[in-house]
Amino acid sequence: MLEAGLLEHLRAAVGDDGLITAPAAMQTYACDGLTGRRVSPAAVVLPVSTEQVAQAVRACAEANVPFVARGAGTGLSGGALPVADGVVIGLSRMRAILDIDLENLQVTVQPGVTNLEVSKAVRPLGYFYAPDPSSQQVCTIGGNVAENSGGAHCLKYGFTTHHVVAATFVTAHGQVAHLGGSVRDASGYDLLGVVIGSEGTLGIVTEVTLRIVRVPESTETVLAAFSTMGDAGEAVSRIIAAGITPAAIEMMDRLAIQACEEIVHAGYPDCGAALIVELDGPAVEAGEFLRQVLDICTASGATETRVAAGEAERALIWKARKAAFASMGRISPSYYVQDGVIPRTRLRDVLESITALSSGYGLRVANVFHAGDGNLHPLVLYDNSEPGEGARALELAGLILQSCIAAGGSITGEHGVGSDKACYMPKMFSPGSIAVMGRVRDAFDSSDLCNPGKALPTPRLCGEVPGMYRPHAIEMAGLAERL
Amino acid sequence: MTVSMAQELRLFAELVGAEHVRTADAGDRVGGVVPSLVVAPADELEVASVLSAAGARGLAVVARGGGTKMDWGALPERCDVVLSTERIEGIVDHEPADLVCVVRAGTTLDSLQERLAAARGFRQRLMLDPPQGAGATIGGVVATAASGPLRTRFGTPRDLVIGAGFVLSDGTVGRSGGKVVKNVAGFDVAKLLVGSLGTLAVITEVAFRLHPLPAASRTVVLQSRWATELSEFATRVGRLQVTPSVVDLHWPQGVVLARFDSSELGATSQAERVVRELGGRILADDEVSALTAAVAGSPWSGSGLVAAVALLPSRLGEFLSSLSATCDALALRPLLGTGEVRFAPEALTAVTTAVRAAGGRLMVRRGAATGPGDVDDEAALDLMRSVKRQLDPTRTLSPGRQVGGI
Repeated sequence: MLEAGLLEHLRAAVGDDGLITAPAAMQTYACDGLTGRRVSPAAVVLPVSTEQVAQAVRACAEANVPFVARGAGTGLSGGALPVADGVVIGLSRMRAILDIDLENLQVTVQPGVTNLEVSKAVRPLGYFYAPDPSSQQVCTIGGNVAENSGGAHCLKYGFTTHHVVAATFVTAHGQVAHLGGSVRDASGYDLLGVVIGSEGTLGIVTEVTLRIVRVPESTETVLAAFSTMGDAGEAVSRIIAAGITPAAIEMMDRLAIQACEEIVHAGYPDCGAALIVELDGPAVEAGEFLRQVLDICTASGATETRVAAGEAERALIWKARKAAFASMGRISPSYYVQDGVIPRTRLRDVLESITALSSGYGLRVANVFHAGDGNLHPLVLYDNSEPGEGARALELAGLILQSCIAAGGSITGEHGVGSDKACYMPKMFSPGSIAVMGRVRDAFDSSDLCNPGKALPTPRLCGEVPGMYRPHAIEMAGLAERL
Repeated sequence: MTVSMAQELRLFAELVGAEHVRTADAGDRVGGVVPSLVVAPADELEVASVLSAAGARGLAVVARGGGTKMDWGALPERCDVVLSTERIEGIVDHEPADLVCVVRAGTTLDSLQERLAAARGFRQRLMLDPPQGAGATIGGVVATAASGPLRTRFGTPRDLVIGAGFVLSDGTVGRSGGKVVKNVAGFDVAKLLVGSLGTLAVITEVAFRLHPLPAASRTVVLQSRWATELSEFATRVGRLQVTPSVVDLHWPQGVVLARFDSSELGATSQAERVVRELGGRILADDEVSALTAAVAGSPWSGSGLVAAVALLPSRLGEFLSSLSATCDALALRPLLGTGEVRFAPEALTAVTTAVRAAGGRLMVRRGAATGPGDVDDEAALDLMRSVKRQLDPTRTLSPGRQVGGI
């Protein structure tokens, strides 16, 4: 329960219609895409302006009550998990596109605008917004900024951090700051650079200026079938070695292909591994690289290659790929999605160790990943009605992450650390490195009120010696699953 | 040298070896400030011990790589010790198939590029070509966020750095990012170090994303006596569905150079499309080297002040008409609204006024009045001060060089 004084301040900030305190209504906000972790907040506010956000933050800061910003809640790492007895600041009502500046190729939006809405707004003018997370139909720009979202096409186009030029930012103390600028090379420290990807722990963005990109003249999409993941991985290496930078290179294994086919019927060949390679740019260049990629695939042992003939076929290929997570429900009662990164060259080793782990645990693992940048999404399949299987699945997922770290990679490529992986941070970063990150956090939020307990490990959450992630009680009991 | 500095010399000699400490001379001055000592630690651990010792004694430390951009930023308030990164040299890791390298901060950009080019079976490089690049080190290029013509396609150090190793003034050794391109674990501390002018930490190691070298290049040139015609042409190149690596406008040479890097066919077809739709002509190979040589080093070659300018691309035309008269030389990236200009010291006020009138900003890089620019937003400046207080509470590192006296 919040004390009455704070509640009145919040009401004054956002009005009656912007304040939610009924427990049933607040359930919507109790978790994000990591549904296994649920915490009920004490109140939810839905501001409509920068000033309202700032006022709500000031009210929380004065009352020393933690607050958590939230977009669409599609995050997969529990980054928007509320704090018990804290306030959730939902930005879903701030969804206006404020300015389209075609001369300078910039669009300014409120944080609740969805990723896809930005591209839709400028597509008729011949432009698009490049980062394209799979959840782009619903995920918001504010959330993208918090997570530094990527997507299949970030191989060529980069991440959110490469496409944000300025932001209006409400500090953890409720001040309004303007970071970056539409004119490049803002003086001083690149605060925006560290805010992007800080998972909402440094403050709240309330307006974001994005760079838009010219739609390429031509796009070519190849679907190639291989008997083994090793052969497909070899093709990836050869494409990169040939000096080609595709817009995207995605890989799926047999299990993932079968699951996707169950729901999308995209006509993927039944094979050990499928590669999707997309090339875009000036027509002559894309056409030439297309021929090279087809040759490389054949030389690497592809059993079949198809080139999408037109937009409809391309869309179908991508629809199946983007449905990969959702389709797991067809082949398994539950699954856990991992988000490790490895150097591309270590693909074969890490896939072998995933296979070994899978058979050692007696659990199936479906592999879907952004092969071009080594971002793996192994999906560990399990059945919660089998006693202990959920726990073993999480243990297996943890060991996959360990092999990613051992290969010189990362514990998260795009889903974020959130509350899910905070305790893995010490496996990747030294105590000194984590201490520096903690000092950066203190520079922005010395009271630790802005989305506390996320992104960085805390002794309270992780204990003296950081250990393996342990499943939440609710998952152990089979009452919830992870997306 | 004072008696006390003789003690400091002995102290640092114990930490890094006597042959790596010397008393400073006029050639070591930072802005107008002549330091007492030059210390060259071998690695990050020695950097940590040097910084802790300096911090504990209240000595100010300025990190120096190749010393090519010591004028960037404001003059330091104090400078007792120059920390030279010359011994922190070499490639830590280069996996060509991953298009990633990890390199120590004191390595020169030139030697890095040479070593990358030597990887058998691969042709790749770090896509940075900063001004005054000869002798510039990785650490310095990152700390100054310096970029050149390739910025149009590949961005600045900010866009290419994927990880960093650094040492804070209290001796804390830290890392952020990693050696994979896609990675969101932990805060992106390296972003704070890019362009920090050495005020937050000493950078010891940087991981970069690399790009393949193109098979072919074609350059389109448009020549004109009218600056506005040049900027108009450049803008329209940016609107075509082509992907130039470089689009640079040079004045008073009166040229726009648009370079296309791709396959043989890809580069030629893009260049031909530009000529067909917008004009200009494709340069023959020998002309490319001649013209590149003619604009190389501009606007740095020649005397006068040099300043970096930035403004909205849409306001470039207006800026050009007022400035092509005032400035002796302009080298601009019209698609980004950035570039560098050279002018006589007495023109400073006129140039500043013109840039401000076009809504832009200006940072003098050479000559009198060099500085880091301004931050108008008080709340943002407060946050920057707070970051400095957290990472360098003793104000040991390059005090006064950043905005607002940070």
